[in-house]
Amino acid sequence: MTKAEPDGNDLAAAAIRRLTGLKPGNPRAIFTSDLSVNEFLLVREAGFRPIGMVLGSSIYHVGLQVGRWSRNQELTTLSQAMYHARDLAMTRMEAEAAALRADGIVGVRLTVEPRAFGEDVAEFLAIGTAVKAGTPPPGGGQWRNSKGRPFTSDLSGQDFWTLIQAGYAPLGMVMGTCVYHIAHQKMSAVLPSLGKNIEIAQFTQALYDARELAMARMQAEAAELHAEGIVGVQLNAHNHRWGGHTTEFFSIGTAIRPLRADHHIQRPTMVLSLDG
Amino acid sequence: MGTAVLRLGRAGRYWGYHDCRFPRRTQRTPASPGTAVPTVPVVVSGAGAASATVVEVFDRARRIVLERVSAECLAVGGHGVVAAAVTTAPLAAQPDCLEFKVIGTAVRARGSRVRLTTPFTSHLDGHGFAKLLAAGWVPVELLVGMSIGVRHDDSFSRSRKLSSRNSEISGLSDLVRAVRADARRQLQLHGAERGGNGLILADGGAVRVWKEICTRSTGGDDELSFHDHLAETTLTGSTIAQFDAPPPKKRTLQVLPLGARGGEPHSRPAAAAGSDGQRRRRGVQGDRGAT
Repeated sequence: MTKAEPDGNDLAAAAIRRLTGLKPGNPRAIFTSDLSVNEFLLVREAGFRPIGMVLGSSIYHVGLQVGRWSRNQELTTLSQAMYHARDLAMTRMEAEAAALRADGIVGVRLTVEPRAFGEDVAEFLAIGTAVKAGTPPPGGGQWRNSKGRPFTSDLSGQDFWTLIQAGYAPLGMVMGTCVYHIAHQKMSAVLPSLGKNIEIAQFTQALYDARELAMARMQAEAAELHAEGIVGVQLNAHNHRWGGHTTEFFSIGTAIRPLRADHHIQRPTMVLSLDG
Repeated sequence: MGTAVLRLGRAGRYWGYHDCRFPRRTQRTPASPGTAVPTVPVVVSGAGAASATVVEVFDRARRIVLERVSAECLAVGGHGVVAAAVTTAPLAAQPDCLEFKVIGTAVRARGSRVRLTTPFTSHLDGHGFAKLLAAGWVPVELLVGMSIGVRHDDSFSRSRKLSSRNSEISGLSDLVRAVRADARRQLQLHGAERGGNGLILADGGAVRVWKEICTRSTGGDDELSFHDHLAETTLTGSTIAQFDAPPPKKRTLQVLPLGARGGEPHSRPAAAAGSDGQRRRRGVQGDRGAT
């Protein structure tokens, strides 16, 4: 790529000059970043400076709850655990970012990893890169969200850049979870339908309910942040270790607010990629 | 390429890196509700724990290997090494010896006659390197930050585990947090030795956790409490320094790929049940931001 630059030689020379002038520095003056090179450069171009990788984690013991064999029901103990542990991780990450006086956190990854400590123990982990804006947002105000906390976003650097270009700013990650026990079918219901193609209304209803609950909780969080909408929503089903009929439905996205009234991005250019 | 084989000396029965500093013979608090939480220290290698010697060996190995890589690079008239990959593997013949290896490609800067005493080293591949350079950043040094932490398994954390209620196991959270923070700090300390403005990580640094028998335990009836929890993590990254790029900097060309949703198939991390490997693909494909 540097080949295409007319000033490739100057560029390399300038880089080497910089390397010769390097001096041991203050460890605190070096930012750490969890972003890939593409993301790093785009976040810079969007007007933000990475100031440090931040993370929060919580090792959590998820309690026990067994659903009734033949009933569709939410397992509230488990729902609470999954939400509370993630919330702890996120809050700690935000606290780290706030200590760095960041305006926000980009590229947040929220993961759950089973740990070797025990059967029902998992680590809930949130990692992202804290960023600080060079200038206040156009139209006044601040980059931090309506609660005065650094904004969080699970969008990649690429998506973040596009969002800012189009005149939107992230407010915070919003999530909702629901652990649902799907009833087993009764024998009397199974027998008449043997060998037939039919919809099993009971299962459909259960999946609907569980997803709706998760989505509604996420939307409630966004409403609390006075968001205009939520982008990049993912609605996933995770079957952690609870067996076939107990599933977690987890929805997560980034709540956004408009920065200005007009939202236009450049007309897309068609590109034919030559790689496979 | 540079390589070095080092033997990890063992101190005592185990590798000697998990002295939990749990005060011996203190009254172990009975696990009844309402008792005060005993303060169990989390000791990390960066704060002078017994594991520091192991971490120090790894760091020494990194320095030796990078020195060799640099010497080789200078010998061929290079200015730096890109796409350097660090691997650590035990020797098949002797499992207590570890081989540290760095393999990369030496590159020379056209248009510069300056001879560097220390070439730059970086894990970044050609794409990343070119993009960074065009945006006015040059990699400085490949770094490896490592940390090992130990925490005694006290009865407090155990009683929580056995209950059927939801609860955070705060002791373990502390341990993992301390280890991660220490590894990050090590990276920053190493990075500051040569200077630079920032640090780009190569991978997220998975934390490995396991249990060992506590070397401070003196035996007794309560067998479960004679364990230590250990956590280990390694972060790899490169420091970068900003320089005054000859103007004009190129603006990012906007390309909206009309492929799968978002243009990046499987690009976003699953919000849960993810793995560290998953995240690498971000920014690899669908380079909306290529210069």
